Amino acid sequence: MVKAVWEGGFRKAAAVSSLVAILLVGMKTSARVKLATLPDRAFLSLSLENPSRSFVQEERILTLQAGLNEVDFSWQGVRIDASAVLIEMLDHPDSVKLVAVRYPPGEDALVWEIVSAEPVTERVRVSYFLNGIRENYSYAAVADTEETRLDWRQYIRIENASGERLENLIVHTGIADPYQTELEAGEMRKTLVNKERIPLRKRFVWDAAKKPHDPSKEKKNVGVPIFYVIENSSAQALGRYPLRAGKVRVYQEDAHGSNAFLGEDWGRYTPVNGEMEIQVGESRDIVVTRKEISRVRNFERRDRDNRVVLYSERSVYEVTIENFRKEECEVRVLDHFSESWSVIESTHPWEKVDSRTLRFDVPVPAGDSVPLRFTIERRNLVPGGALG
Amino acid sequence: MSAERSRRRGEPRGAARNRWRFSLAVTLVLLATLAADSRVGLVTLPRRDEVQLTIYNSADITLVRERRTLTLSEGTNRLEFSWAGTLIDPTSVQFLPLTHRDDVSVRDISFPPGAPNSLVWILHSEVSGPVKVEISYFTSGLNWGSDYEAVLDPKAAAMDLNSYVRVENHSGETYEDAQVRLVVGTIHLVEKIADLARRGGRAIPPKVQAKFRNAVQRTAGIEFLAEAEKAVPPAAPEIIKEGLSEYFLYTVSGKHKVEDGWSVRWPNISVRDIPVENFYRDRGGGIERRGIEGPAGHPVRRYLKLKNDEEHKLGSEPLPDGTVHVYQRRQDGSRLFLGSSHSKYIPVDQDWEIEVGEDPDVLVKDVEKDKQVENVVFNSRGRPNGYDVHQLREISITNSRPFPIQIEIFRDFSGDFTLEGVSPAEKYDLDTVRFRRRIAAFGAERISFGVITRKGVRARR
Repeated sequence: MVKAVWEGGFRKAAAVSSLVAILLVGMKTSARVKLATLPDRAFLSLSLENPSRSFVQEERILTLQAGLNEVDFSWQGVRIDASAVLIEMLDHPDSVKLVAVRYPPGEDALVWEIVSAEPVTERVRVSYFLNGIRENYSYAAVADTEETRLDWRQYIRIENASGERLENLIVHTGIADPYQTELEAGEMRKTLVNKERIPLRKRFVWDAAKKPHDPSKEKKNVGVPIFYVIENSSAQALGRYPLRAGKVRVYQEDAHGSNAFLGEDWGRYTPVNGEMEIQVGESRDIVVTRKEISRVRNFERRDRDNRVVLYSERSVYEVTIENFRKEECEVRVLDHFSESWSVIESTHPWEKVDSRTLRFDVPVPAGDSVPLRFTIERRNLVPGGALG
Repeated sequence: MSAERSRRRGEPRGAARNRWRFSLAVTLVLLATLAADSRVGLVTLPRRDEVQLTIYNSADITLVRERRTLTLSEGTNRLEFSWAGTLIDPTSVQFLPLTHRDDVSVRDISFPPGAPNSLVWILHSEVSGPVKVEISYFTSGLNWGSDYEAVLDPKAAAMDLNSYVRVENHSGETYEDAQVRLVVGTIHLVEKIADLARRGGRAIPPKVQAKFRNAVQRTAGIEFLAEAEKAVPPAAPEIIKEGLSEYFLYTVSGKHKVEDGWSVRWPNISVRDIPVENFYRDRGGGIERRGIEGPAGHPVRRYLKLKNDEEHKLGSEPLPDGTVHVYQRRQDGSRLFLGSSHSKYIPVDQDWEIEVGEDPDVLVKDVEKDKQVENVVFNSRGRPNGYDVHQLREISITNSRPFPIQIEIFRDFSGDFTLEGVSPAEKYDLDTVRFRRRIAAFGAERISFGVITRKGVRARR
C-alpha cells in the first residue's frame, strides 16, 4: 500500500495498487504546481515468452503541462529492477520527450522528467520486469477408443507471488493466443489456453538396454513401453506455437461415456514441426525375446608368443516379437553395440541411429509372432575389449 | 525537488530541509589576515559559480573543476578548503586564479594538525577585490555507465536502438548546476582515488601521481561550455560527443543537479530501423541442460548482428560497454522481452553482436553416426601399438523460427586428426572448424563429415 501526501494536507491512500504513479507538473522554477493525479492503468499485460523474466507493460494516461513535468513512479512490496523500467510516449512521441530519469537514494522509486511542447493528455506505456511470477505448463489428453485421435488441452498455471494485484491482465505466453485474466496477489490460477483434436500415433518401444532379453525367465510380466506420439505441426491442427515442457496426463474414453486415466509423462519442449513422445504405460500383450543364436570368430591375429592380440567376430541375433493384442501394431526395437560394428544382414530394414544404436520398426499382425533376425560383425577387437 | 519528495512522505518541512540540503561538505573559508594583525578581517563562504564533472567509467575517478569568486585583500590571505564526509583525494586539490593571474600566487599549502579533511592555502595577492579562481580535485564515488534498449520489428529484420547514460553519485557531495562530462575509454591509474581519500590529507603526493594528474587534466580539457548553456533548456539534453586522444568524451548539454545518493539517467542515442541479421552461434557442449535437450538437440545462442557504421545508421562514435535489453515489437505495438546481455565496448566500424540468449526454437544436435577402428599396426613383438579411428559425424540444425537464420557452428578436435568432407574455408584454426549455414524459415539441414584420428605410433603430432 502506498501513502501519498500532497500540499494542503490532502491525503490519499491508494490501497488498490502498490504500483503508483504520481504526477507532479512542475513549472520551471522550484515552485511547482502540485497536481495530484493517480492515473489508472488503461491497459496491463504480462509477457512470459522469456521464461527467465516476467515482463509487464501497462498503459497510463498522464496529464502534462507545457515545459518540464516530473512524474514519480514508485513501488512498495514488489520487486522491480529500477534500471530496466521504461516509459514510451504513445500519442505524441515527437513533442513529448523523456529528458532524464532520476533515482532517489534508498527508495523503490524513480522520477521521470518529461518535457512537453504544449499541455497534453499523453498515453504512455510503462514497462518493467516483475519478480515473483511463476508459471508452469501442463497438458491433458483424452484418446478416443481407437487411439487414433486425441482431445488435446493445454493449460498454463500462473502463480502471482509478486505482491501486486493484476487486474484486466492480458497474458502473452508465447505458446498460445493472448488471453485476459485477473490475478489477485498470492493467487494461483490455471487457465485452458488451447484445445484441439489432433491425430495420434501409438508406438511400442522395446529397448535391449532397458528390458530383460528372456522374459520367460522373469517372475513378473515384462511390459513393453507404449508412447503416444504427437506432431506439433499445422498438418495436425497444432504447429502455431512451440509446446513448452510440462506434465502430460493421458486419459481414454471408455465405452460408458466416461474416461479412464492411462498414465502421465513429462512432455519435453517441442518446437514447431517437432514431435512429442509421451509414455503412457506398458503393454503386457506384446512379448519380446532376444537371443544370440551364434558367434563365430572370423579373423584372428597372434603375437610372437602366440597369444591372440586382435580378432573379429560375427554374431547372429534373433528377436521374436509376439503380439497378443487384437490389432496389428508396429514395434520399435532398439539394440546397442559398441565400437567397430556393422550389420551384415537382416530380415527387416534397419537404421544405424548412431554409433551405438541400431533401430528396427517391425510390423506385427494381430495374434501373430514375427522373428527378427540379423547378423552383426564386430571388428578389430582385442581380448577383454576393443581398440578406440 | 527534494523537499517536495520529503513532504509528500509526510515529514515535517524542517526535516526535509535537513535531509536534502546541500551538505556543505566542501566549504571555502576565506580568512584575510593582515600580516601583523591577529584580527580576522574577513570571512566569506563564496558559492560555486560553476562546476564541471568529468567522470571516468573505467576507474573510480572523477575530475571536479569548480569556479568561485573570492574577495581577496592585498597582502597575505588564508584560504581554508575542507571536505569532510566526501571521497576527495587530498593529493589532487589544485588552486588556480583565473583573473589577476600575475597578481595572485599560492605561497604555501598547509595541512593543519587535527583537521584531517582540510587544507589551507596561504595566498599572496597584489590586488584587493574579487578574484575568480578555479579549484580542481579528484573524487571517487561518482561513476557512469551506459545501457541499451534494442527493439526488433515483428519480422526481426530491423531494430530500433535507444541508449542511455546513467550517472551515480555516492561521493558524499551534491553538485548543483553541474556540467557533466563522461569519458569513454580506459585510463591508467597507479593508486585508487578511494584509497587516497581514505588516507586523508596526510598523504604526500608521490611524483608519479603528479605526473598522472597533469596528464588526466590535460585530456579532460580546459574549457567550460559557453555561458549560453547555463540556463536549463526546456528540452531533452543533447549528448555532445568528441574524440579526445584515445578516449571519447560525452558532454551532457545543459546544467544538471547531481545529488549525493541519487542516480540520473539521460537518453543518449536513438536510432530507428537499423538492419540486423539474425545470427546464431553454437560452440558445442552444454548438452542435456534443464530438460530442454530434446530429441532434436540443444538450443543455440542467438545474436543480432550489425556494425557500428553508417550503413547501420551508427558509426559516429564508439559504443560504450553496457547492458542491452532486447525486445521485439508485436503487431499491436506492444513488446515481448527476448533477452539481455552485457555488450562489450564497440569501436567505430566494428561488428556488433548483441547476444539475445539461448533460443529453444533453434536446435543443434551432434551425432556420431559411425565409428570404426582401422589400420591396426603392430610392434616387433606382434602387439598392436597404433591404429586409426574413423568417425562419421553428423550435425543437424533445426530452425523452428518463422524467419531465415544465419548459423555458425564451431567444433574442436584433438590429437592427430584429418577431416573429410570439410572444405578448407571451413577450417578456423589448427584444431577448430567453423560451419556457416543459412537455414530457411522452418528449415533444417544436416552437415555430415568424417574424422580420422591416428592413435599410438600412427599419431604424428
